[in-house]
Amino acid sequence: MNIFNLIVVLWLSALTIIFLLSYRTKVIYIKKIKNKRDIKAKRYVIFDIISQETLELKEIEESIRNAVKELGGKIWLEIANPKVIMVYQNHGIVSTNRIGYKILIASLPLARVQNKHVLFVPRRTTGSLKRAKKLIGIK
Amino acid sequence: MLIETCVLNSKIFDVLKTVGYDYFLSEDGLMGQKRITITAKNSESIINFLKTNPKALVFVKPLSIDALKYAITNNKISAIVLSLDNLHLFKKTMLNLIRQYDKPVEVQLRDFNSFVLRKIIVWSYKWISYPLFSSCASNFDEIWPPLSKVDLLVIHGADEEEAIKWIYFSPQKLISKNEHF
Repeated sequence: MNIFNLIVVLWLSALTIIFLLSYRTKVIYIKKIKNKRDIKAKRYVIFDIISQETLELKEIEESIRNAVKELGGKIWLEIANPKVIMVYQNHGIVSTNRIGYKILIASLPLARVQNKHVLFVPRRTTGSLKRAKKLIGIK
Repeated sequence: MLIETCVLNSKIFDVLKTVGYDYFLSEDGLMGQKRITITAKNSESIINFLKTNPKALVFVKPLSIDALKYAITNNKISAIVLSLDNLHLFKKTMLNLIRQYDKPVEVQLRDFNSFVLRKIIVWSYKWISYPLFSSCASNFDEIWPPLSKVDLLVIHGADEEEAIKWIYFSPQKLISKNEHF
């Protein structure tokens, strides 16, 4: 009986050693999933400016940034990072990215300029500045 | 046809047109279709108001269960106004009643609350057939353009298709339901 027990113990210990050695050398295959959505892709939002007063580019950018901060907080302001590229007649182009363009459009009515009544109306969103310029009438 | 369901000042109609709206409901009744919003603490105040026979769309902001129940079941009431003050009244039984009577529920974006918006979006998938989102603008810089309304709902958790449906078609349903005014 003792011999039989000894054989079983030896057999199990041998199996354990083989398993541990094979586990150490085993290569675990992990499939890397790439995020295909390019979150850095630019978006250009075209908006109309409705106001009876003249506005400077800096004023518009500051008011839009404040509006995004009011709606989404500091985190969304830094993600969206809206920048007014240009103002042509009563149209404007603001640059943002693929994640942040929705919060930018949603916060445009909240934009306020000091002592001035102004309304920004979003019109179109495009992926290229060239097309955005074409849409507002710059050739 | 895109309809703005609440405007406090009819003089901003030109701006509304450039923003993209074709028609609107106004509180002053000078232009567009007239609407009246009343705040009701109980059902008796609604009954007393309806006795005056107003020729306008009546929107009720109920502040008690009794007033809410009466507003839902009465055909003369066009819609119910939802805000942070009366959010606690909208329990499951009341929402079932709203679904049964197909009553539109309005949220005013003049001083909107994200919690209220989130609630109405969740309820609109099951109970509220016609949610309305109104600007209630007294000046032109308070108008909410339709694209901004859609994206405001999307960032609060609504599907884009549903948000477009609510913004474009719910006001049309409200108008078609109350054509006799």
